[in-house]
Amino acid sequence: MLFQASLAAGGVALMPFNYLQYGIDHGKGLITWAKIPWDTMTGAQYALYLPLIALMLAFTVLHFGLTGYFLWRLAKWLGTPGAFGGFINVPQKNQNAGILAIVASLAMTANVFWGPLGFFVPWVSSNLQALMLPSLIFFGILWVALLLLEVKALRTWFGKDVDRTQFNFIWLLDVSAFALVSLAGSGIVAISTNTSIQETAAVATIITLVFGFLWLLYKLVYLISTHAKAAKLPDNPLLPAFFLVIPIACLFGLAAYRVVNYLQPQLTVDLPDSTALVVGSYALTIVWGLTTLYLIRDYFLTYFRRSDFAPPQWGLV
Amino acid sequence: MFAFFAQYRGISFLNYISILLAVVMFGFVMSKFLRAYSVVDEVAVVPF
Repeated sequence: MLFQASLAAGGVALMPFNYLQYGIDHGKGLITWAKIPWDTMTGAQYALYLPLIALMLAFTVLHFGLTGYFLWRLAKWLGTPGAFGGFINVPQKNQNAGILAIVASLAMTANVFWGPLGFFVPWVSSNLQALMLPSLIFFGILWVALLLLEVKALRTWFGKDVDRTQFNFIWLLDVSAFALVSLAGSGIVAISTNTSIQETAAVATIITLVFGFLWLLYKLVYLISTHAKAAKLPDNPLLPAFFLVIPIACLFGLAAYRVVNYLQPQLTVDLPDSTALVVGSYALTIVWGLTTLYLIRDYFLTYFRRSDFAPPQWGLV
Repeated sequence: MFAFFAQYRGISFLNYISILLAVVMFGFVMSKFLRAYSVVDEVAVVPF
């Protein structure tokens, strides 16, 4: 599950970016190195922000480095006859959902490109509008790939001989791809000033947002009920997958917030309040996170430190 | 909402800590990942 590593690195690169974006008064648009008021900052502010900037730089480089390396390995793997078919057609324990991690990670790449990379590279931040059309094309490729892979995987999950009681929260990897593609699309809607680009991105985003959200609800109900019926938690290596719900809920909330802000002025009907959407999604993540921490506390107390690597551990990041 | 949160030092502090925690967790999982990767080239089987 290599692409989960680049996805996690991208997520960590975005964290300090968002902190700086919303914590420092920098005028309109995305924050950049040049917009930070270095001259008026106190020593404490330097001590607070400089480590964040260093972390953002390290994880941005790591994200692009890992993405490039994994894409190279992916191309080699796809060139192996039967490799793709042999993987996507095996739904046991929903392991083929892992293929959507590629789409999720590449959607994260778009966000890292606009935000953290734009922070350090003035060419990116000053040409952001000119980059919106290439961004839309990239988003379109991811959108089509997401739907094609999803349809292919869906057919296997609901096949006759599949034991769906063995499905676990790793099954949510495809929903996280929907959430990240929605975030990338809503990013174009929020950043672009070109009406055609905004409209195209908004329509595509609404499709992934609505389908992804309904799919999330279905899977949550299904997984919670099968886990409750089994009356026991999954094996230790699978437990961190419970945390996958957290980024998914946050990303859907943020994407919905941006889309509603774009749509509301153009409609006569009232959409749900955008602030309520984002606050609601964050409230859900807090409740889910605390419940999960309580539920799998033994995993952290006795297992995690000495455990071998398991792909769901990226869910913790 | 974020600007609202950023005005409150307690929440801002929690945000800051959560970033550091994510970095530590990333380091933890990455070190496990690299150990596993050096033993078995997982890429040869499944590259994602």
